[in-house]
Amino acid sequence: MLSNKTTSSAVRSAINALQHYKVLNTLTNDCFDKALETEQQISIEKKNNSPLYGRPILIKDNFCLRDTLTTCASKMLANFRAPYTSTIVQRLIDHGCIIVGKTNMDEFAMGVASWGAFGPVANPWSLTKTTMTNVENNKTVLHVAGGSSGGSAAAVAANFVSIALGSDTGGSIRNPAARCGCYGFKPSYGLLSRLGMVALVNSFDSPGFFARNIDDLIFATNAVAGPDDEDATLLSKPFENFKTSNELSKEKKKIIIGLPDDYDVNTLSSEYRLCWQDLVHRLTETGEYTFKRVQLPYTPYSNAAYTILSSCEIASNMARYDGIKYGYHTKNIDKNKDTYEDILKKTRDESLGERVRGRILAGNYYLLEENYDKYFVQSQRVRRGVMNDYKKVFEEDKIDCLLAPVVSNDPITLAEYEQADDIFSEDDIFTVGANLAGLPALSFPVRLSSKGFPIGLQLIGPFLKDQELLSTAYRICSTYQFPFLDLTKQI
Amino acid sequence: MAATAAAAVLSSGRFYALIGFEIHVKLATHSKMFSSSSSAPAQTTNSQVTPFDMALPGSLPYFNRTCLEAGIRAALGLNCQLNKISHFERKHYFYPDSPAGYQITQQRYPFASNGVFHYPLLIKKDKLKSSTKYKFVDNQNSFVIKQCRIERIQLEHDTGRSIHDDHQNRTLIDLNRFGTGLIEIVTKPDIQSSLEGESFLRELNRLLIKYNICEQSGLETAVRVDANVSLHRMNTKPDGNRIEIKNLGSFIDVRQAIDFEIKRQEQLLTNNYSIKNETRTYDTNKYQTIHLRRKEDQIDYRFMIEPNLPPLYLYDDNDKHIYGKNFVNIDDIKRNIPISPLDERKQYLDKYKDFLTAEHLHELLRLDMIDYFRDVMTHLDNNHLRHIALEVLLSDVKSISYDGRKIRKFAQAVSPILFADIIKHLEKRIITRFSLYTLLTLCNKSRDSTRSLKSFLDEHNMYAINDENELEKICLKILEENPKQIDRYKTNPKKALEQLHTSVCKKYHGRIHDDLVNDVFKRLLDKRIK
Repeated sequence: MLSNKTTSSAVRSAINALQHYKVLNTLTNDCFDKALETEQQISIEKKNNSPLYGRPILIKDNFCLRDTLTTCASKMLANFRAPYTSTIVQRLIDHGCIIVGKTNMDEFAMGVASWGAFGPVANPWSLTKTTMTNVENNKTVLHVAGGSSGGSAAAVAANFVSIALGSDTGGSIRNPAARCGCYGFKPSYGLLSRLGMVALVNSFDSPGFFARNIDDLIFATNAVAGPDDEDATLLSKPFENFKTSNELSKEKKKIIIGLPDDYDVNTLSSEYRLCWQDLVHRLTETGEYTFKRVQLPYTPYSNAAYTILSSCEIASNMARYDGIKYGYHTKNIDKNKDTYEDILKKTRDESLGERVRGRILAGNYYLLEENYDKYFVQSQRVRRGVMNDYKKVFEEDKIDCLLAPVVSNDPITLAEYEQADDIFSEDDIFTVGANLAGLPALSFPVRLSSKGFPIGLQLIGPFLKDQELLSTAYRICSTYQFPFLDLTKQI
Repeated sequence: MAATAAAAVLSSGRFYALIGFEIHVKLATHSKMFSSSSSAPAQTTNSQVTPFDMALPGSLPYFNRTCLEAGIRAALGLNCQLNKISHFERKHYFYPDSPAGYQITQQRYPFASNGVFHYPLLIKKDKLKSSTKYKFVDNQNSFVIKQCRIERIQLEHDTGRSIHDDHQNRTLIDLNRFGTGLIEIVTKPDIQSSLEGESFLRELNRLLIKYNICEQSGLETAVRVDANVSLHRMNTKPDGNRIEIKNLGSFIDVRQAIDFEIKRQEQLLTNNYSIKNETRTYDTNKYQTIHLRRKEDQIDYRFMIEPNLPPLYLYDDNDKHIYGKNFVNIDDIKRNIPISPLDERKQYLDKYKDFLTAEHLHELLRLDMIDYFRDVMTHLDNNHLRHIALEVLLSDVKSISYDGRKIRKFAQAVSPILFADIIKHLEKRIITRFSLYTLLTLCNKSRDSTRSLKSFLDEHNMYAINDENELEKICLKILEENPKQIDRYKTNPKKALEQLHTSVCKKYHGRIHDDLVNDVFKRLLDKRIK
């Protein structure tokens, strides 16, 4: 690769796009200068043949990158520079990826709107709705991008970069992928190292990727998956690379897909249900797929179990934010009166958002000695019930994977979101199951809604059958064309 | 004096005490329990801190295998049942020296439980005679062995260190200690007095050092003790209430705190107050326990399973088909574990039965001289020498080391080899028995523990006078200086010889053999009479 090529650098294009579309607020902070430098460097010393070599990527701002701000979109970490790099990010760098910036998200990854301390991410599809303008200020009406990895999803959906890193604890990759119209993949729990990823719910957190085609998901996952001797929750056996579409045998075996009745809830809009049903019909017609309705009876309880278990771990994980070692520290100190507890309270009150504080409060309540069995332990039993539901369907009913919705309706506007009072979303019911059971799940865009927003669906597979899931997704998605957005064409 | 007051309470027959311990032992491993930083003590402030040790966002724990192995050795030494599945949990509380806002411990599912530990009761030799009051006595010549049941042992890590700077009204935190491995040993309340408590802790200390579980010096730095004390009227059942006394740092503190509590609780009971759960701390200056918090103020630690560490599985020979090379096998550790201090002492009794009795051994134990004794014995090759050595240890060394309190210093200054050399010289009559006290004192005071015995003897001229001629000259001189005794010899030979003996020893301190000099004097005096 010659360094005096005058074709525009991939990094330069990404930077231009990100800067041009600042209105989408996809970044919390950028690494533009360093990225350009790195691109120069690695074009001279071509180190490996990785398909990711030289690719600009974005990473969600809850992954630590040495000497770079890692804010988790929170005032508490607004000035936090990590002294180390997360394993996943380091492996991407070792493969030649160039990190252009850190993406915006919900504060500490809690939420479905990617609206933290630095403002909301806007859905890139809002910018295609030239008919929708705010009467008062003549600005384009903006819609939620989903969350909590909204910044990463939006950037990939708009084609600023081809691959972005996110995290999925209760749906935080699949939800924004569906809202923004790109692929979002959450691998099986225990494949990808969480070292350096700011913990939300250790038992459910999974790093994962956004991309515009399934092969890119595979390249990215292959680059980072496998044991890390600093993460004790990973599978210890060596990771075998996933095969891309080219590498798989052309033989097409029949795939049996389950349709969970319990996911067909009232809140699912008729338009979104129709999309689900239409895909089923279309695929049935190819003759390569059989669909079966399946039961997951623990589904109605999964949200409650998820809420309780996640609140408990969140309350615990958030206990470290005291401003003493790093992060925000209150300046409002009365030297004569304030005790350690007073200063601690002020620091946390002033820097943690309302949703975060609410989860901490709830979690601490559930963890009280008198409540532990009633809530935490009972929720673990329900969680096991959820896991067994899936296991039964996959093993006894011989299902290859499940096809289900991810969100129930078009995204609301940012203004509407601000008015709303919900702490949890009704849509969680579609996504938390895979987190409770540690299963691989992939969200893929199907078609546009009548209002012109992407409608996405997800595949959920058996534990550690990620390869099969990715292959099935590839096969399904090659039966149609989704009109991916590309905002860079308009610059 | 709290000790006598407490003893009076217990021997009155009206009350009985229930005492249990929670003992935190610092594990002797190179690195910390959940991170790779070194656990070496006394290093530059905050120089041994990994991301996990300061609870950086995104950091994760990884369990240190040597901590588990040390824990298993402790469990085996305390005859515990090893739980093949145990779990780590988070214990939540806010404090600056706890960066994550929680400590990783094993509350509900510890790795070891239901053990029992046998320990010798340490009483002063003269009190042994009245030991019929204590149970488990075979006869006066054997140890009084008591037992204490072990409730559980759990793995956990230490917190950082807070340094309170009252001058500038701030607290400084050093995280070097944060994360170093600990085991917490919780006993059942089988201890019934401060004496039993101290005896138990001393024997436990011996075990911990022998099994390489903690570093040297035991209770002073590597071990911290919390004591639970409750006093009850005789013939009443305990109601579960007890006083917790935190952070006792030495054997003496433990004894004094327990004695103070027993007396204090006796006062309460006598005045018809009941004992309610309470946490107290011990004031080493005032020798009293002080209230810290009541039961209502007790903290709810919101224990939660640690999600970043899988369950801890232990394996033994029966599981060979399941486990991999890297797993820890309990039976392997069992096979390689050293002999227990209790069994080792039984071995000494057998090996040295020609001259060593249980009473001797008990006294050596009480004086903390067992290890020194063992080492000295290996440098002497016959029982005659060994017997002499034992006698010297239990007299001169006992005194010089202040009844065993300064034995560690003595053992450093007077190495077992040097001591053995002294005994050999004594046996060969190169030095006299009477010079030993002075000689040993000199060696103990010397800062150079590598000095040879010869250099001491030369410097202070401590060689015994064995030459008959020289001795005669000396005795003649003494006779000249003490004419009265010559006369006295005619009427009261015994007294005269005594006086002459005293005079010559005064002049040639420690260099005179009794038997030799007496013979010479007798000979000379008899000659004179003739």
